[in-house]
Amino acid sequence: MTNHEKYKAAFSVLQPTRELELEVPTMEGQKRTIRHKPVLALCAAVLTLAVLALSVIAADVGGIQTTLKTWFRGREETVSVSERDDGGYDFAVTDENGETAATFGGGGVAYENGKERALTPQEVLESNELEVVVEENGKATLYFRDRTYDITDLFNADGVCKVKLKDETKKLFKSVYVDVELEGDSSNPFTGYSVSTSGLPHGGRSAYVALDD
Amino acid sequence: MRIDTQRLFEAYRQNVFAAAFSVCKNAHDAEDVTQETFLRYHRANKQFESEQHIKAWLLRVAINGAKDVWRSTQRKNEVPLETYMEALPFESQESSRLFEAVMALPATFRSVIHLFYYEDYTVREIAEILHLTQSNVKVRLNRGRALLKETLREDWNDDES
Repeated sequence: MTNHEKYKAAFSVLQPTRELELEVPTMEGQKRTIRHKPVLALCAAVLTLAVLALSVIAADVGGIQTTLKTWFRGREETVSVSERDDGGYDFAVTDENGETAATFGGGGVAYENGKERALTPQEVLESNELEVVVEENGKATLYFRDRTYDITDLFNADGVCKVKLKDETKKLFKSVYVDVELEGDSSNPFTGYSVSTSGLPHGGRSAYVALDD
Repeated sequence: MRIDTQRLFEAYRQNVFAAAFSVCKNAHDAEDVTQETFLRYHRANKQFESEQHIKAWLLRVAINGAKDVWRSTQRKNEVPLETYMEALPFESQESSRLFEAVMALPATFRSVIHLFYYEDYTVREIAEILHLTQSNVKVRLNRGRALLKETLREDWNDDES
């Protein structure tokens, strides 16, 4: 046998053991970073883009707006959606009386087989279904759909918190790896924080605290 | 040209997985890298010249992804290589020893060795895939071969060009 044949015989035993499926569109495995400032984090009325997980199919209202049932900070909320001219969406959270409690906007593009398309409102909401709120007193809370976690004590001395969540709705990347990093300097130890999420760990799985185990 | 991602996945998943594994030495990580590689192709707004061009691109993305994982998880693998190897259906002791010897090579040699012996790429093609100079590829190839010869002795031939 040649070296090529020997090598191929040895390495042909390597086969993926996990059932692999190709999942289409958008967010899985993509790194997303949202910058937070404390003033926003403390203001419940300012939702920015974050947070809402789709749970119930949309219903049209008057042919212009769409309403979606979603999760916001552990509670089920109703969001009305209207499309903007730039391809993005305006979202409004309505309270139990039907009055607008908060508004925010969002949008984006996905690539499928090399073609670009605008994200649907559902995809925009799904891509922002995880929110971390760090208050100036150091209390840190992670929201993921109907789940709420107190992660205050999980920051290391460098102000970094690495946690792992389970997402059973996904066919791929069933774990969500979340990195939260506090920002600041000696004169102002807390000027904000950044949050990034990914389907893959950064720095090794062992660095992450599993919140669902 | 573009090829349907699912068809591509069926055709090359093993190649991509093996290339990733040869670098990161961990099946779980290699599977993550394999998924990420095909998802990147799926999302990429990129045209290719041929199917071979696509395959080379997939292998490059997989090897680079596996390098990132390898750098971040060195010596922290959840399943030791020896344990994983026990479950692999090698046809002979010789195959098992060769596999182990390759895995013991320095990381910078493994991807070059794998592309040369498993994928049958030339030195020039490997240089293009890994963005290295041809002389750099030759050096890595020759040093990798020498180490394999040192370990495997008569089970590794001298006759490679």
